[in-house]
Amino acid sequence: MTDHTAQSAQRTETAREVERVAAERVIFFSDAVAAIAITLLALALPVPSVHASASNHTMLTALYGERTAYLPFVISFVVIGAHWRAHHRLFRSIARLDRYVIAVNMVWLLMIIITPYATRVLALPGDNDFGVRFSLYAIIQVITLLALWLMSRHLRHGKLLRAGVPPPLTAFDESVVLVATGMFAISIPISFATPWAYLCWVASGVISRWVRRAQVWSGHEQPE
Amino acid sequence: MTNHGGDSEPDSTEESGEVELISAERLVFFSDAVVAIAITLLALNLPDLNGHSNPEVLKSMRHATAAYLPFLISFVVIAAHWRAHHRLYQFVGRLDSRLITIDMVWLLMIIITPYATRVLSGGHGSQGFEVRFSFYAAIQVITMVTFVVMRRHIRNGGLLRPGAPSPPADDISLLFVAAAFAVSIPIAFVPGVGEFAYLVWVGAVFIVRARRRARGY
Repeated sequence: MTDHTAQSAQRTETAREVERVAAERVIFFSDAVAAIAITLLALALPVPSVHASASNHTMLTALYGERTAYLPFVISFVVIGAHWRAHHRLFRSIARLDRYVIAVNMVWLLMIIITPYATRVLALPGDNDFGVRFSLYAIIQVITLLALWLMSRHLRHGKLLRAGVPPPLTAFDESVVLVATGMFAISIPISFATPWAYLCWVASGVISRWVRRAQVWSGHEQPE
Repeated sequence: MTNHGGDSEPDSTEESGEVELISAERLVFFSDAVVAIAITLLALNLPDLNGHSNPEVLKSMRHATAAYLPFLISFVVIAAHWRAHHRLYQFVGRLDSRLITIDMVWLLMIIITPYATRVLSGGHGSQGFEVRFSFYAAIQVITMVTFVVMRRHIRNGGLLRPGAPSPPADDISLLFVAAAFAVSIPIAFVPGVGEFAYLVWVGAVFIVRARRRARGY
């Protein structure tokens, strides 16, 4: 009888191990996709084309002329970096995944994959179509954040976490994600009026950081 | 959220130690993937060869030499950065928010390096060399300084794996190479000598290697 119990305990342990390895693979796959996306951003950076007799000054002027391409690059680096950090935090105490999380994660990955494309679109010159190019980018960010929010809610309520480990994102963290999502959403109508719509994105990042820092200070939260 | 570091149950502490370790591994895996992709993307910069006969193809290869040298330099440079990163993270047991941020800055520099390589190899003719060279050198200086900051933070921030040996703390060597890259920038602007500014990089690396070997690192 004890033999039987030991055997079934062994079987449960193996099953748990298999589930954990399967979850890790999904996470590593996501890491690889995010890593490729963030690295590909630099492919869109234009090398200033100067003719053979160009001087250093012309070179610098040409570099300055390409500044509209550098800003979207930096924004996207920060954006994908932040999405990955949130993903990293969300999955830190995962024990297994279910179909729902894998499906939503695929949506998250799709958005990460098209972010370099949206960056190229955003970097295109021209002012008349700014609203559309900006909105495409913002919509992708809204969907990415919503996917994260959905996964977080599911993880918090489901039984996918390791025993004895608190959920990575609290209900409060999730509302911060929603605020960030809201800022990106609000930026869409604003972008049709003014390019200063970028400030909504900056505000989104700053607010999230403030809230997070306030939480760490007040002792409700451990630093990452 | 409860503070799971202060949990007193023994196996829960072990569990959270494992969670910390896996969390650190994910950052390492992510960084490795970025570096692997960046080093592979370098080859995208290599120019296509064209010509309808063997001599023509050879001629177009000769024209492309300006692109081969930066490619090889960048391969060695990224590989060296990765080896240092690889050696450092063997000892890391857990992360904090600042470490992730510093690593992100380091990764940004790695990601920009293929672009800097494209800028360095330029198009036809090597005009504007000084600015191209300086951009590349500046990226390398930032990468190395970021790495020193990262290593110091890991050592002093209690992020080492319990029981693991401390990572070799040879900050002087790395800062020396960073300084050499920084010094190469004004040298590139000296008329007549500028083209040899590359030699400062090579020299610095050889000096540091000799020093390391002498000290048995």
